[in-house]
Amino acid sequence: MAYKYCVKENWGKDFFTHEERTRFHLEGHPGNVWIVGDNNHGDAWISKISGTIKTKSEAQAIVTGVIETAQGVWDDDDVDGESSAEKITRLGAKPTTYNII
Amino acid sequence: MATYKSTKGFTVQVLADDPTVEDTVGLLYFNTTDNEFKYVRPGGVAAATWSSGGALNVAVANSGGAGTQTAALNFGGVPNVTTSESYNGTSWTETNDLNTGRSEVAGSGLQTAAIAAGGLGSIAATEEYDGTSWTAGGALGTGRRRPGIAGNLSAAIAFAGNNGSYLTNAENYDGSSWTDAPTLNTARSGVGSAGISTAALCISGQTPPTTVNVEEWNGSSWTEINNVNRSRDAGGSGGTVSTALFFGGEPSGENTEYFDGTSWSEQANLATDRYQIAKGNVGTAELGICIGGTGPAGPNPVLTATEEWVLPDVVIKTVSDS
Repeated sequence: MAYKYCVKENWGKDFFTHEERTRFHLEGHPGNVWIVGDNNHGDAWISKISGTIKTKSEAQAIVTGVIETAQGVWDDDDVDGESSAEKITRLGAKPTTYNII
Repeated sequence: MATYKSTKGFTVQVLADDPTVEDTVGLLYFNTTDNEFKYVRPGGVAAATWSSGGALNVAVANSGGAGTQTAALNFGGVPNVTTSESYNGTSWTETNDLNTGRSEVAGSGLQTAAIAAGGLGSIAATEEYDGTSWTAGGALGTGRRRPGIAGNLSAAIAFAGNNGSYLTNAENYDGSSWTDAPTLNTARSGVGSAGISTAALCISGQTPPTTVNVEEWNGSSWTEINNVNRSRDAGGSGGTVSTALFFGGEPSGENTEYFDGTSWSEQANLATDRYQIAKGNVGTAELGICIGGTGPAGPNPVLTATEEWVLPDVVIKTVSDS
């Protein structure tokens, strides 16, 4: 399956509808990156939201950048005397980078 | 009563609005509002999807939730905030605050009759919301964070959670005080919840690591029933013992499972993968709502985004030339 990539902040209600979800693949990722099924319905949705088209590598760089920032925040958020297990309990696991489809 | 002629017609019908009722399945018609030929297909869980809902005013994770898709509540969250918001199906409005700031809290009930229990720091104090303000309820016998809960402010059951240990403990609420109830079979926290005080589900959760186990409460004991397909911690949930929804969580943060009263099946994913979703019995299996949480870059950024699940009776398809 082919995809397109765009960036747009989710404005809430009707940003994507039930009908749209049945017509094309859609995934949201950090940095307001959206992976959109490459068909005419996906194109219409990108147009509807005025999404900014990105290449896959540009989209990946945005996602990775946000996660790396979150990793830094996680690393810096220490409490004296706290074990690593306790830190994970408090904050959740350290964010990890991943590859988008 | 509708007849074949009136619902299906002998010629293509002309309608201004799409039909919504199940007995129109098979109908082909021309929609004069959209200027398109359309037809009606059967709905059901396989046709259910998530759409975007209104955005929270304050991004939050590990909050509690209650209510329905069109009348929901979201309260508390990291870092032990008192913030509370109400939803009308379109937008979120800030309400009066909780009295005790808390995260890892769970909620149940209606927007006008909700209960909040537990919280980080093994909070025992519960709070009740009457549609206007939060007031103190009875204190849990065992304070805990990340419990499950089902019911409302006059009759509820809280179960599981963590107070330094993973808990099997369950407690019944009668509107004023909590009393010990029979224990779960598997200790856990961060569970999904569904049901009422006398018929509830305790779904998956952290043991650690995580369990696929689901237990059903019948008012007197907990019984193991069919497992979820993917174990997870800190997912969202809602429904009854007859139909329930379990979604998001860690891992498998975009996955949705539907319970038909017997078994769990994987259904359409959330658009945005997330965990630490508003916890408790929120929405239904037919009209679900996923509130806030932490996105895949967790623990930051926390999300304002909500999503709404609809299990339709029918699906309207447009006749296209491609």
